Amino acid sequence: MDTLKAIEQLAQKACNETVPCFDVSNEVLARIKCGKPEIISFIPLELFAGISVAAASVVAFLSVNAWHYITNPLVELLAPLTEIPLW
Amino acid sequence: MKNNDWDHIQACLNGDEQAYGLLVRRYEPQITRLMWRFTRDRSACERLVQDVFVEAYFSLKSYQGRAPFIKWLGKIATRVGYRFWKERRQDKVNVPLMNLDTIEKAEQNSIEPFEAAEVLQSLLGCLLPADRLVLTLMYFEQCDTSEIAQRMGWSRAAVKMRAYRARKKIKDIAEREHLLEKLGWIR
Repeated sequence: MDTLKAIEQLAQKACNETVPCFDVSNEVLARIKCGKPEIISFIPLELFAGISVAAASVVAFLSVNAWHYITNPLVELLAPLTEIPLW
Repeated sequence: MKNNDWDHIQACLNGDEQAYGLLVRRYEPQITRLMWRFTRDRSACERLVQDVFVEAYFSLKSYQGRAPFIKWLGKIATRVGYRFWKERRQDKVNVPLMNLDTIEKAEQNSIEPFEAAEVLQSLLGCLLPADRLVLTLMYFEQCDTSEIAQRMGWSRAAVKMRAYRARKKIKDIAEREHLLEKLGWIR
């Protein structure tokens, strides 16, 4: 008898095998609950964004004012030279 | 597809987990039957069945209802089982070939189904996971090459080639182990 034929006959027989029964529905639902990514509530996110915007606007306001007082650091170097009489 | 399935799937997508419980109970026997081909260890099989349904739940959005739900589940189950074999191979878990001497010699038609399944799964266990998968689906699920290709996302030509090589390998193993003599199918 051909070996492959024998293996196929084994397979045909094996298909009639009684398989065990499980009831996994409760475990599946429990695992789904554990594995579910938490839905991020939108309100805290919006609140945090609002606070960030307020803080950023204060910093921006102060920065714009401060910008006017900034002088070029090279000016400090060149200023003494302009005052020295060369001859 | 059963209308019931579609209703339950929609309910699941709307957050009704109990509806998913009904789907699990409906398709559990078929999925268990398939996963039993991947392991004959009861607890491992139960775990695999759970994995299939959990994975299916989180992929439910991608199910478009073009094919029956069980077919879609079968695809997930096959991939879960294949991954299980690959992980076991990586972990170097080698299941030794069962001692074929313990098989009671029987006529071809009188061998018990569970015994036939044990012998066959033991032989298949000597193959590489991909080869084993192709033959498992062919022998136990009566899948043709195009269905295996579709389930696994492989090309049909690759499946055909793999099936040809896997058959050759399993034949060599069976002959090396004197399977037919041990089964008493050669006198």
